[in-house]
Parts: sequence; C-alpha cells; structure tokens
Amino acid sequence: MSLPLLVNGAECGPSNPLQGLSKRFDQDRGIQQDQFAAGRAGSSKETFRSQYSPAPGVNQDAARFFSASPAPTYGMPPPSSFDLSALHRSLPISHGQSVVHMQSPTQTPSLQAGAAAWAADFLQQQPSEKAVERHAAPMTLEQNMSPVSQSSPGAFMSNMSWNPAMGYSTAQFAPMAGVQQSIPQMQSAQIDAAKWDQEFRSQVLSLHTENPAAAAPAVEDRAKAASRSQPVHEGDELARTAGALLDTVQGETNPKFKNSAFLGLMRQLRDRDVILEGNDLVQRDEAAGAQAPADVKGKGRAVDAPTAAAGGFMQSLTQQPIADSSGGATASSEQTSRPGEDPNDTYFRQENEDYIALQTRIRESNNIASLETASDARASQMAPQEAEWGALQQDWDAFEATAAGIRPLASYQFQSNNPYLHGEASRTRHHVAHGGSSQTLYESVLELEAAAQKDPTNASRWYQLGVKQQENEREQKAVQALRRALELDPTHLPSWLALAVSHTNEGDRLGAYNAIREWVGRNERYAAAVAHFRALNPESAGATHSEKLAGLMHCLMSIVREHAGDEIDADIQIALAVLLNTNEDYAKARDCFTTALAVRPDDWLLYNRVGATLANSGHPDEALQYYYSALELNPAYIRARFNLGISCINLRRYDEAAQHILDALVLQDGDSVRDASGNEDKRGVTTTALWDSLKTCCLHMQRLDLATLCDRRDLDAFRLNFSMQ
Amino acid sequence: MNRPPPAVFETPGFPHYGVAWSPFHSNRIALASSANYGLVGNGRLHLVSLGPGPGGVPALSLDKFYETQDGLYDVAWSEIHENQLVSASGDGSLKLWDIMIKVGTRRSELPIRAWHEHTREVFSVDWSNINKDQFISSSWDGTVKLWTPDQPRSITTIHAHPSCVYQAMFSPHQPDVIATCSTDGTVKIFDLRAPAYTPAAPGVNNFTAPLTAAALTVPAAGTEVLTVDWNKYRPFVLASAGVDKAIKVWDCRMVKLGPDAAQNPAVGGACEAQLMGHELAVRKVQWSPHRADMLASAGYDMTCRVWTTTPPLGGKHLLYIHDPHTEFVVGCDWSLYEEGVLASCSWDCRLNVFRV
Repeated sequence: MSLPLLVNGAECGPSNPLQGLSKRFDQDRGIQQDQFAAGRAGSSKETFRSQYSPAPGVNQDAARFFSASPAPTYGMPPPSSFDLSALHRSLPISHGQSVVHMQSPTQTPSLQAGAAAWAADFLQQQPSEKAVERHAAPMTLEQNMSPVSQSSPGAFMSNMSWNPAMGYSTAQFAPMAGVQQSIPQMQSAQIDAAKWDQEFRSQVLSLHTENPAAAAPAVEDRAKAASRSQPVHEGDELARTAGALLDTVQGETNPKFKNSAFLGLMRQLRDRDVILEGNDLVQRDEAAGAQAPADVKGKGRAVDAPTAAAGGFMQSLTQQPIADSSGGATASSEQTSRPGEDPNDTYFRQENEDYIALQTRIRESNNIASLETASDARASQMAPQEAEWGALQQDWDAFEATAAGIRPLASYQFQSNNPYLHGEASRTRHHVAHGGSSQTLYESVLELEAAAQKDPTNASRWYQLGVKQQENEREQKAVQALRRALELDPTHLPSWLALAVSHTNEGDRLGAYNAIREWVGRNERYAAAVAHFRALNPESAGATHSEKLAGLMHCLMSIVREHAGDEIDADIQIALAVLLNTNEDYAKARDCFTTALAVRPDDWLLYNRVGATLANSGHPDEALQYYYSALELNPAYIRARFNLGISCINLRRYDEAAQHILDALVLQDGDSVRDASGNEDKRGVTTTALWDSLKTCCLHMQRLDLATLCDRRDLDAFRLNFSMQ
Repeated sequence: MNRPPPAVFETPGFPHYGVAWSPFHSNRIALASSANYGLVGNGRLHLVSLGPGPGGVPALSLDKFYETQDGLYDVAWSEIHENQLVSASGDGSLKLWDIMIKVGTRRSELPIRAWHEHTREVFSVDWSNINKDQFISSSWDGTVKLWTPDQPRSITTIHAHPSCVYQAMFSPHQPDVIATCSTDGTVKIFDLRAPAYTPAAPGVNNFTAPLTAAALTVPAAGTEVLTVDWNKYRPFVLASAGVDKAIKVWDCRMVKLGPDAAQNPAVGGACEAQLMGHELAVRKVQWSPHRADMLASAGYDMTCRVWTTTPPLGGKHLLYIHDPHTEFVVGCDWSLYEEGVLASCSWDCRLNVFRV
C-alpha cells in the first residue's frame, strides 16, 4: 500500500495526513466565504462559471434555476466531504518493510521462536554478530537504500522523507554505533555476550548492574525499543488521521453513520483499540497475544512472523511488568508507575520515557562519534541518520504521556530555523532583508511563534499567534494555536471569540456555536443575564442543532437589548454577528459588525468581516471598499487581500484578482525561513486555498502557463512571468 | 411505488471498490474488493452471476474468486475476449485474469499476465470499446498508461496531472481520446495521437515538471474530482463529480483534437447542468448505456442515486435514491443488456442489483 506522503513533498502530498484530510473535508474556505450565499447553485450556461458565483444579476437567475434540486439549506451539516486516500497515505509500505525485516539480522532468529527463546537466541548470537555489527550501520543503510533507489525519482524523494524502513534500520543500528564508539576497548571478537549486554544496558538504563543474570531484560528492552518505536509512530499517524476523519462526520445526523462499521473501525483506530500489525488490523489485546494475523495466505509471511514474535514480547512484558523486579527496567517502572494505572499504560509510558532518554544519549554519543571520525566515511552517513533521528525525536516530543496513554500535545507545528528564537540579540534586519517583505511594521508570525515557543504556557501568546495566523489566512494553524490557548486558560474570552470566527470560516457550524456558547457562558459581565435567560428558556435535551443555534442567538439578542442603554460592547456584537453569519443571515450580521465598527473604528479585522459578509451575501462590489479600508489600516493583512482577490474574481476582474492573490502569497511567503543550506522550508507557509484561487484566476485569463506554475507552487517563477505580460 | 427488493450478494470481510458488468454475458458481474477497507491487507476479485433464485426472483451467486496480495481498486472486462478481465491493485500492478484458464494451484490461482509500472495505487482501469485490444489505467502517481494484453510493457504513458488521477475513461465515440480527473480539481481530455511531450508554453520545462499537454482542461471544481464519465450518446459530453458533492455535466465540444491538439492546449468546457443532492462526496458517476439523459451516481453519503439531465417542466433532476447500503457506496454500473438495471457495490460488503 502507499505511505510516502506522510511527511511532505510528494505530488499529491499534503504536509501531513491531517491536513490532507482537512483539505478534502473542508471546502476551500476563501471561495466558500465568498460563494456561500448564492454560489451553491453555481453554474450558469457560461464557461468557467462553476466555481465562483457570478455577478448578482446573473446569479439570481442561476440560483432560481437550480433551486429545483434540493439545495443545501439551513439545517444542513457543514459542508464536508471526503476521500480516504489520506488514510492510505498514513499507512506504511508493507513490502518495503518486509525487505528490512528479512535483512536485519537480529530479527531473523525470531522467525520460529517464541519470546523467551528469542532472547536466548539473541544472546547466543551476539559473539558472531558483533564482527558484522562493526560495519553494520553503513552496510545496512546501503541495503535499505537499494529498494528505494529502484523506484522512480519522484517516489524516491518521498520515500526518503519518511520511510518506515529507514526509520526502522536506524532504530536498530544507531544504538549500536553509539555503544561501539563509547567502548573502544571492545575490539576483539571474543568478548562475551554478557559483557556486551551489560555495557549496552548501562547505556540504556544508566544502571550499572554487574549481575550477568539480569542481561535478558536489557536485551528485551532494547529489542522492544527497536521493534516498537516505529509501529507506535505509525499508529499515531493512523489514529490521528482516523480521529480527523471522525471529526468531520460528527455533524452527520444520518443514523447510518452511527451504525457504520467503517466509522466504528475508525473510532477504534483513533482510540488505539485496533492497531496496525504488519499487514493487518488487529485488536490491541489480540495483538499482544502471539497469534499471527488471521489471513496469512499470500503475501508477507516474512512480515507476519517477526511482528508476531514481537507481539509475543509485548505479551510477556505486559503480563508481568511489575511482578519481576530482577531487571533494571522493571525496577524503574515500579518507581514511576502511577496509582490506578493500567499495566498497558504503564508499559507504554515507561517505554516512551526510556526511549526518549535513550535517544538523547545516543544523539549525544553520535555527535561525539562524528567528531572523532570526521575523516571517516561514516561521518557522511551520520548526517542523514541524525536528521532522521531528529525528526523522530521531534515526533516523540510531540507526545505527552498521561494516565490515559499517550496523547498528542498541541498539534501546532512551529517552523524550524526560526531566527527569532535566538533571543533579542538576533533581532536584526537580517531576516527581514532576506524575506524582502513588508513585515517590518508588524510583528510577523515567526516572531509570535518564537514568543509562544519561549513561553509555551502563556495563553495570551498563543492567542496572539492564533489571531496572526488568521490574518495570514492559515486557518488550520490558527485553530490549533487558539485551541492551545484555551487549553491553557479556558477563561480567555478573546480566544473563544477568535475560535468561533475560525470555525465559521471553516464552515464548522457546530464548532462556532460551541465557541460562542463558551464565550457568553464564561463572560462575567453577562453571567447574570445568561443565567436569567436560561432559566426562562430551558434547553430541551433533544434539541436539534439549529434549535440550539436559534436559542443562543435569542439569548445574545436579549442581552444586547437589555444593555441597550449602556455603552456598546463590540465583542457581543461580534459574537452575534458570527452566529448570524453561520446562519447565513448576512444582512443582520452586517448590521452587528457595523455597530461594532462604530465603537472600534481602527479595527481592520472588523472592516474585513463587514466586507466578507457583504461578499457572502452577493455584493462583492460593495465589499471592496471595506477591504480597502482594512488594508489601509494594515497593509500586511493577508486575509483581507485574499478576500479582495476573491471579490475581484466574482466581479470578473481577473487581472486585478490575480495581482491581489499574488500579493497575498508573497506576504505569506515572507514567513518562510531559509535553512543553513539555503533551502527554504516551504511547508505550510503558503496556503493551498490561495494557490488554488490563483490557478483558477489564471485559467480564466487563458494563461495556462501560469496555471502550471501554480500547480508547482513556484512563486518566483510566477512573479516573473506574471509581471512580464 | 412498489419495487421488488434488490438482489443482494455478500462478501464478508471484503468491502468493495469496484463493480463491472460483463459486456458479453448478460448476467455476469465482476467485483473488486479489499480487506480492511483497502487500508491494509489482501484483495479479492469476485465473479458473480445473476440467475433465477427461489420463487423466480433473480438472485446473485458466486462463480469463483481470486485472491490477490494487495487490495483491488477497480476492475474492467475485456471487450475482445469474453473470459478476460483486468484488475487494478493498490501496489501499483495490473493483472489480467482468464476465468477459463487455470494457472497456479487450485487454492491460489494466478493471473495470466501482470504488469507493474505504476509507482503508486492504480485507481481505475477502463477498456476501450473502439480499439478493443487496448485498455488504460490511472494511478495516484499522476500518470495514465495505455496497455494492450499482448505487450509486456505499457504502450504509452501520459503524465496527466501533477497529482492523483482518480479515473481515466476512453471516449465511446472517438478512438484514442480519453478523459481524466484528478485531485487538482480539473478534468482533462487527451488525444493519444498527440505527442506525449511538447512544451505546453514557453518557459515551462518538461524535464523538471513532466506533464503531458491536454487537448482540453476543464476547471471542474475547486476541490478534488473523483470521477468522470462520457455520455454514451452525445459526443463530448461528460459528467464529473467529486468532493464538492455536485455532479456537473460538461459540454466539451469545443475541444480540438488530432495530432496537433497538444500544440494548442485550451481551457474550457461549458457546464450545462449541476446536480445537487448528495450529502457527501460523490465517488462514482456513470451514464446510462441506454438513455442519453440518465446517469447514476454513488457517494459517501451511503446512497446510490439516479438522475436525469432533462427533467420535465417543474420536475426534479433526481429520479431515484437507492438507500439500503449501510456504508459508503463506492461503485455502480448499469447493466448493458437490460435497461434500467443497476448494480451498486459498497463498503458494507454487499453488492445490490436493482431495477430503477
């Protein structure tokens, strides 16, 4: 099956599976926002008219014409739709894996042996293997490369970026390399297994036990670190993808979706009740049993057997992780085990910690090793290996071990090589000069990211980052940052409001509703009013979503009415406007926004929102002036620029639209960072929605050449060609 | 309206990915399926026939099945040989099966021929009914390949899209003309007689970004287009559908074909109808082989729907909803012999055959 797109880089590849999914689920926001009201009906008799709602006049006819078909209306769930290829992408290449399994010498003995026998075998094999292992790292790397290099160049790149095979092999051999470098006296092939293991164990556990009888647990520990590290990582991706998929169908009211076996499976994957074992999906407790997957006919016996054996390992470990206190590993797990924790969880948490500790140590020793052997050919091998480790480490660090198992920390991915991270001293013009963008006036995303990284528990920093990401048209990242802010401080009201805006933009009505509800519920100023309203209008348990929405709207309206005499609170107007927007009640939403604008005449966000509301209700021409006002206040406001472009498309001013969207892209691109080798890490910096709109624009302009450049996301070439016309 | 219940055939443990009626036998159906919803594991190619069941009601029965080592995503019958069919696999391979020739052991029969050129999942296969010795495959690696059963390698490779090509279909009217659809939101029409590589425009480098120039590019949707089909009666009328939940009918008669097609790549396609109703993405559309204005669609909202493009005055486009499936419906195929008989297959492991 396919995997390569896990990380990034291949043609259809989203930067992560989640993003890939959301790409499919969420409609293109920028377009949707403008198209929402009338655009559904979409097409007219004209060429090219399917994407954007035409000018109002044409549009109404079209809408009337097509309204014969059941148009999605008020009560519909948010637009979501999907294809499952992202799921496929989060799966490993099974044949790739099998190659590695067969090649890795330490796995071979396990083919016929059970857990205990495996350990014994391993011990016996040590002396003879050691000679091989001296050179194992480079050799195995080469071997692993060969299947990869046989595939086409495109596949090669993507395989390189995240290959389970590669990851696996490093997991196997990097520890050894570290060990060997740190114990140079072990030149002789006659050094006995027990001593080797002892040394190894001291690396792994930092426990200098001299008892050779305790060697077995150490071997187990190492083997499990190697054999479990990769699968767990894959499992994470799969679980996260499954979770994302479920989130997108949660609004489905159709009972079929509740009973769906497939969605049930997704739920199990998300909760890790079912995990990927070799070539099959199995129950986790089943997987722990040493039983081979049910269907082993055909492919992959070589794959199945080792994993089954590894499963056996797990069983022996999980069944008696604490009872046997002879080994160092179990001793330490006893020390740190938390009361009431499931043995499984203990095991995972323990292993996670061990693994991180092990890795840190290995990386250190690797660094020393590469210094020592700088002239050695191996040094060149180390670099990619380390990069691989670095990536793995980052992935691991992104998880937090809790009593409930491992869960992802805030999924917000920071850009790497952020120059602002190096403290105030590095805040020179240097980066700005590089980017050539106009970000000098305003704090850039990178600055705010650095601030959040330096002070990761400060909710307001995350909030600022979230709002900035919204302004920069990166909705997903904005949501992640805002979620993080709210995790840290659930009473941070501005975050709730900002989150509601993001959800509205993503078409997530339920999310917007919940955020506004939280906002008003936690707002002390209105606590009494809300309580009063809720007492008068108790919510029935079986209320449908739209009823709830209407209820909340009435609640807000009554509050506004009660406070009519006081000075206007812009926030509640905004909250109400957001709700009205989700309800496609644009005229009222616009009134609310303009009221808020009267209080805050310098808020560029509000100008943009009024503009977007107008555009959504089919008045792109009127929207323009508001966008211009927003941009006057903040020329680097990417979202307003993009919205301006969309409105121009709807007014069929394609040249102008292309220029605006291009400007927005250039501004976004200003956030990219060049790494040491001069390559830019473009991942997630420019938004797909912008590129897609720009491409459509180019197609309308009959500029196929430019559209091709859009497909390739080649900003520099595009600018060059665009300005040349 | 009182409809007879559909004839149902179950393949426990093997959710379906594609269904195809035989062009030679009125009652034969091929089913492509994959264990674990195609996420991991094996595939199975089922051969099912529709026969008289108890009480004179038609019933489906299994003729035989083939095991494959990777999930199967699509299947197409040969137009030239009644016993042959080709399957598309998740591992990038294509396999030609002959249901009368026994290769391999009784327990694991093998294909009579296999090709492996695609580097990623092959998502569709289609057999030409004009050049009856040719078929095409489309893959997530962005290419479309043209094959003939006699050759050990593909005849042509078209780098159709920069991303996954979900479906490629031969025109039923013109030899050598195909339509493709992709993640990138476009439907493209290619003329196979045009050279595969001509610079699409000055400044576009074919070495770093090899893309074959299309005769016509239709910007069909802002999101992924999952399926496309040619109208069988009206030349150059296509239907496309995908993640945006709408089925769109395109008039593409403005396309200029011939060997020079690639020299003048055009963008166009007039959307002549837009059929809304599916609640989630549409996975498959197919025009009726009997009527110019009728098409069927299958979608992730677990329904199979039948539409007309020319509703009576005040009438609806939507003619019929087939709702018994309990998982995503991923494939549908009209019977070629009996008008109005539709087969639909789904991830609930059930093949339903019903009369619309």
